[in-house]
Amino acid sequence: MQGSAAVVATVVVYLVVCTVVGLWPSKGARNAVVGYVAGDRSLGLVLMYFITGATIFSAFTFLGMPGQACSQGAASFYILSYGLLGFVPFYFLGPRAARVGRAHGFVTQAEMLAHRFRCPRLALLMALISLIAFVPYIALQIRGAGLIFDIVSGGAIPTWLGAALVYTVVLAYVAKSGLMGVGWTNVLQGVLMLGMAWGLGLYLPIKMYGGVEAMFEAIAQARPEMLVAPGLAKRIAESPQTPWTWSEYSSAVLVSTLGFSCWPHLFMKAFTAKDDRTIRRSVVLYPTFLVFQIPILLMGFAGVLHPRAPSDLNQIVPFLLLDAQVPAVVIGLFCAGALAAAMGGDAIGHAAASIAVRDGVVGGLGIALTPEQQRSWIRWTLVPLLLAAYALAMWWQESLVWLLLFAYGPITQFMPAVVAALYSRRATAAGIVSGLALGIAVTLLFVVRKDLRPWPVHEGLYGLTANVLALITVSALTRRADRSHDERFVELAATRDS
Amino acid sequence: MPARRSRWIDLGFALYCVSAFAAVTWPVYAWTGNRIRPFVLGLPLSLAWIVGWILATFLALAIYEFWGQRR
Repeated sequence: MQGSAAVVATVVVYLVVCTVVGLWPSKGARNAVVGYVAGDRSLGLVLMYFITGATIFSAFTFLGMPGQACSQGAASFYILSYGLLGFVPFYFLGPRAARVGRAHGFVTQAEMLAHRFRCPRLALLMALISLIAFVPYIALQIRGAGLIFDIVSGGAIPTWLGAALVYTVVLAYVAKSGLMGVGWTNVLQGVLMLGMAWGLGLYLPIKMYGGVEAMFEAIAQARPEMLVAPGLAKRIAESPQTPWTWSEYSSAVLVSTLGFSCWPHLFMKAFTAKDDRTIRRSVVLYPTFLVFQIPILLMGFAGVLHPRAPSDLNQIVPFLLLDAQVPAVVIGLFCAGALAAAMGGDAIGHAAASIAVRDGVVGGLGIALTPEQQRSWIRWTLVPLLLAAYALAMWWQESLVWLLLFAYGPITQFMPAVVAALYSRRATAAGIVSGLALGIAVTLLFVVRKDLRPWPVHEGLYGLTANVLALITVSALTRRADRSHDERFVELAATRDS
Repeated sequence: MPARRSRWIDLGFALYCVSAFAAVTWPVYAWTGNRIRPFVLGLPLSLAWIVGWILATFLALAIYEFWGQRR
């Protein structure tokens, strides 16, 4: 690659800045688990905005989303569509969770549910599900980070080495600074990603077609099916690409909208905010983050009519940049932006280690640890977690995306349990566990055997329906363990403080 | 703010959310915004339509938050 030294230098400079920003907040961190996991419940709007916004930017956003736009056209609009309302449930659930969190010292979603339903095994179950989902997710980010180094160095820095380098930096600042380290690097990463997204999202269409409208006009003439929803289905092996169906598109939007707020690493941010107003306002501002995904789609659409394409469409943007012979520093900045997105695994790693210790070891297994010991355990848990994800990324690449899809299905099944915990006095532990178990079983059955679905809708929708029905029925048939405890919990959640 | 008026605001916001969801899925999206032309700010209508609803959701949330603070 021409000018690869300049490109690598740009990326390395970014990595150094990230290390400094990530390690710096540890100087003010409290020596306790709440400080490490929940930032002493002191996060203001700026940090909350970038931390929650960073959850939608990942290696997939910078590499996978343009690839999807390039190969499946308007099917990629589904990501914007579910983001539209995906965070709205958090406007109502977040402040309620924060209130009970402040009163009872919760820092994770599972310990809130375990306390509400007096069922420590529930925390263990949720911790296991979360970890099974998180490790392949982090693995994808690690692989994305390694790929970026591989691309910018023209193969001189192989994927395994680049990935190891980037995630050593991540391990250092997450272990040292906890949530505040993640938060401030997310601010830096967010600013860089947003700048790069808009800069290059407009630059590529202008350079290649003379403008955004000219690009879409050319696509409308040559391949109009790419510009109308539901777009094209994912290509399977060598079979011809078929249109996606409206039922799958719409149900995917619905399931993702309902489940998005309950992703554990996102939901636990409710316990980090300094007050209810900060949570609500971070939800209000959230759609502005979505607007920044539009230029990323533009980059992908720029590749639709390109005469040549890389074998891996996830590399379409670096491929187009190289092909368009843009200055090395621009490529370097794009790669730094993509690297910033790939480093989004820091928040997941932090959440995964916190959940493993708080929900698995302390809540589920009942091992008593002081707050200082918990913090130390979380730090050490990061090492095997990131190593497991690294191993998965390097040696089990083929099945990684499939594993991720398989693992994320069950996560959306947390939603009915969370709503019931914060709103329903009548829900019982037996109802929650039955709903969760049935919902996960149904979802996984239809993920594996799509042909068994009665209608061609997203498998998560069947799971959610079974989940809610089981929750209501079993709760109605079982007795509450402690009626006054349930009453107090829901009342506390409903008490507004600002 | 009287409780009755507060309920109307909650109902209005709930209605907005249902409308926004319907607007980006079948059948409303298929019958309304899912067209290539006209181009809006250079984007095909199918994409501009969703972007418009994102901006409208930001406004709806901001208004709802403003009214919520006055309750």
